[in-house]
Amino acid sequence: MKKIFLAAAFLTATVISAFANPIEKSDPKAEQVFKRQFAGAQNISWSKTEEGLLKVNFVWAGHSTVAYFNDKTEIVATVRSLFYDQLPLTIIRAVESKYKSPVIIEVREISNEEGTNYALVLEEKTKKYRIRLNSMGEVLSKEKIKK
Amino acid sequence: MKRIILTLAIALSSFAVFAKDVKVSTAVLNSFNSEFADAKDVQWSSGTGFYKASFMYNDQYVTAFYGFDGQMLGVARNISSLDLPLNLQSSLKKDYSGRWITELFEVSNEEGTHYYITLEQADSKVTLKSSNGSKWSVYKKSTKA
Repeated sequence: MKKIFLAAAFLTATVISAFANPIEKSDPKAEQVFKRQFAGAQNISWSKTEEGLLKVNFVWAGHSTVAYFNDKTEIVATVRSLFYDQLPLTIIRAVESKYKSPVIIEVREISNEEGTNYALVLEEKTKKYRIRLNSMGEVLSKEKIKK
Repeated sequence: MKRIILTLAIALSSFAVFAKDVKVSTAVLNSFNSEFADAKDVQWSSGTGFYKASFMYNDQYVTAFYGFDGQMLGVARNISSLDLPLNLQSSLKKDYSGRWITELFEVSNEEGTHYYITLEQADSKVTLKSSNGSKWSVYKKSTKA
């Protein structure tokens, strides 16, 4: 069930935050793991997702980031915003081979123990797309969205 | 064989002597220009079995390697540890804390994205590799004299 949730999170990374309930006190052990991994994080807020995962939104190294913890206080997934030029060259080359002079609106890296995928929103001429790519630059999904 | 050449070429880039002011073949130039039309400050050199182009691309310093037939062997750039995928950053913190990073670069080729990181401590150094988001594996280990 949790894997399905995480897969859904990959598809709708921005929507997930709408379905979490803020909590005042998080798990102390999760906080300890969080502080060790993300020392210097700012604007931290904890919540619980409908599926029971502990979720933390924060800003780290200048990028808005979300981390998900399971009930063993292990980080099971992270989603972070990136600048376009921080993407692996494989991804940049894949995007620029498929789209002529794209305007990149949003870039997210979605990472878990199985690997890393990338979600982009871009505009090409009059059209706007949301695309997902894996680490090899293969397009996993492409969706036209309203401009 | 090409993969070995590429990895060695990148690893030795700082130290190896490459022939400069080389005459680059048309096949290689065409291949380079078709992919990196916006490249700036391009400098060519050659090594054993390959050409190397160093240039600015998307405001970053990048190196591309080509076989003599024009086939791109790979593209490499130095990166910050903060540019690594978060799962890779986390496992470095967990398994290699206390070591310092002396080299970190990203290689992009037809097989995907590969990261090579060299971590040192007082008496030893280790180079790890991750391909396409996989966990780190030991690529090379050595003790310091």
